[in-house]
Amino acid sequence: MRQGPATGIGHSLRARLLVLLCGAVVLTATVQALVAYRTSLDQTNEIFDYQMEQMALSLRKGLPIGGYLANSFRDSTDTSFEFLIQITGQGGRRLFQSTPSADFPLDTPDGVSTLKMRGKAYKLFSLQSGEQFIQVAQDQAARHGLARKLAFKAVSPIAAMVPLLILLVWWVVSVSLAPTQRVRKQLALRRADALTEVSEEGLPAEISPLVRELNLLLDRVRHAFDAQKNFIADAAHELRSPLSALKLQVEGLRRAVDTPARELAIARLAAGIDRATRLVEQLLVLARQQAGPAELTIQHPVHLVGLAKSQVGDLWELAQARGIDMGLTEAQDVVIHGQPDALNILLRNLLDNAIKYTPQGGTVNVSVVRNKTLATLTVEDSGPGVPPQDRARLFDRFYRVTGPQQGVSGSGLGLAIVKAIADLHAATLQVDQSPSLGGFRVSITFSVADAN
Amino acid sequence: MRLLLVEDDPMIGESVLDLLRADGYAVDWVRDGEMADAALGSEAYDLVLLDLGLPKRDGLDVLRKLRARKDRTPVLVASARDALEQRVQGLDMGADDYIVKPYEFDELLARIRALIRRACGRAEPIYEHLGVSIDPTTRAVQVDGKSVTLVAREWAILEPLLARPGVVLSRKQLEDKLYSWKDEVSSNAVEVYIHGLRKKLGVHLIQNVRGIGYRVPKVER
Repeated sequence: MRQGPATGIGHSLRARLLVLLCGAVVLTATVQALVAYRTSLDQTNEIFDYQMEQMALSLRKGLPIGGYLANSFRDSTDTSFEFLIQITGQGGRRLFQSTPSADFPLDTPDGVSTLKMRGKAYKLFSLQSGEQFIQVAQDQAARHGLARKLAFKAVSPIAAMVPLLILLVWWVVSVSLAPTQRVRKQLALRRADALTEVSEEGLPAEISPLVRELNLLLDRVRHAFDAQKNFIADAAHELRSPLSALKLQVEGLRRAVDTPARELAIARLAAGIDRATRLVEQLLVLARQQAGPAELTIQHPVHLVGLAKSQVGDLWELAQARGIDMGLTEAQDVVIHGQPDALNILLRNLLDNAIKYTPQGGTVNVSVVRNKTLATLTVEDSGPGVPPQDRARLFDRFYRVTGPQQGVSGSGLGLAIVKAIADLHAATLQVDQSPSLGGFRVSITFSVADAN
Repeated sequence: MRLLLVEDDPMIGESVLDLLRADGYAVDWVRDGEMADAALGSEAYDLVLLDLGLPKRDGLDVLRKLRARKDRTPVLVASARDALEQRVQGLDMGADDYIVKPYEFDELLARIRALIRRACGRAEPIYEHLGVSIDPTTRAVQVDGKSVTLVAREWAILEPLLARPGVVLSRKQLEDKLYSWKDEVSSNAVEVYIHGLRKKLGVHLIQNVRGIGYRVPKVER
């Protein structure tokens, strides 16, 4: 299931900005338009009210006393007048009507009021002036029509600004986020093994730390990747020898002419298979140890002396069979934090090596010594040792020392595994010549668990 | 034919040694570069089967030294170094052929035969003379159309003679082809096998040049 995190509105910065900003623009414009519309309507109302009042006031004087009804001369269907005026004299006598339809009831209150008459709503201004009662009215529909027209005129520039503002927002957002798009494209175009840096140039301050961290991560990944590639190349190369041997041993078996020859060939083939198996197992152990700080998060207390005793005990018979005297010389009780399985593999590899390279009748000594906050595990032997110039490369994968012990078959991985495990425990590894036995000495120094 | 096997891996070494010997080659086995140098400096081999990743001295060094001495012994490199540039480097430094481990043993044998054949200046694989036809590749021998089987040691004698028809090889030279260092040499072994060969192939194919050695006649074309 591939969910494009960059495509959903909830996750895309650009989409979110666009939606929110455009929403804000539209909302602001709407509120502004509503307010403008309302204000415009109110103002128009006020103006019309004022106009009616002024009209009424100006009609107070100058009307003929006798008066006549203007509508006697008028076409009663004339509706083009917006303002209707009725003036009544004493006793409700009509002095003036601007149109026949202006026959308002006479009980309207002074000032502004509303009135419904013949299905139409009117706004009415009434004024009692001496004997005369002046009423000026305006059709509400007409008034609202006018007012609305004016209000729309006030709102239209705001409406016109909305698309412009949205365009502007869109442009600003796009330009601001262009560098992130560029980074995205750069990354999207990469092959799986392209682990080179992403350019930080022109990135905004908010994003460049992110890209910097990404580059650091890429760098680490590249190193790990290279190490892994080298490991695989080395492993593939090293597997060729046992495989070559197996092929030839099978050939030998196929061509064996008699029973003794066949038995020899089978024995050789079995040895070849054992060797290939051992190499593969060692490779797996090493790969697992190198893979694993995650596994090491669970740190167990490990008694080094207990560990040494059990491993020496396990291998004692093997040493004995080769005439080697193996034992524990110092056993100071000390506890370190670590992974018991890994530490067992570490010590086993060291002891295997010591037994392998020590000649018959030799000695292998193991010691555990505590020095304040440090615990040192030492394995030394009376074998031929390793010349100083070869010691640096000892822990490289598949490195084998040449010299008198050449011909001892090993995977070339034992000490690489020891190093990987020591590294996982942040322990220091030291190799030199054993002062007491004269052979090879490996010392691994750990921090003590109860150091602080 | 006498071969020098240079191989540090004990399992590969012992298997190749046995398989080559079973095929009638006299093989000396050395396990490091310095020993290879020493062996090549003191003995004449028909072919060197050379590993490259060797203790003490790299196989390429051994090869360079050999060619610097103007030694034209055919060298077949058998190495786990399989990268193109490594193969090219090996050939450019004077190897006559390069085979990558792990290889098929039959292919190794075929390449060894081809190199020896070419080193003798002979491109065609089959020798025919006096009604005897011999194919060193398949080791098929026919006398007047009838198949004849030879034992490995008889081959070891016949092959170097066939390699250069007309050339006389001394008894000592033939003895060298028959035995490597570790073998015990019986004094009249060459004569015994020559006798056997003459019985199978006819008395005229292998000629005795008195006081000098043996040869097979050159075939005129």
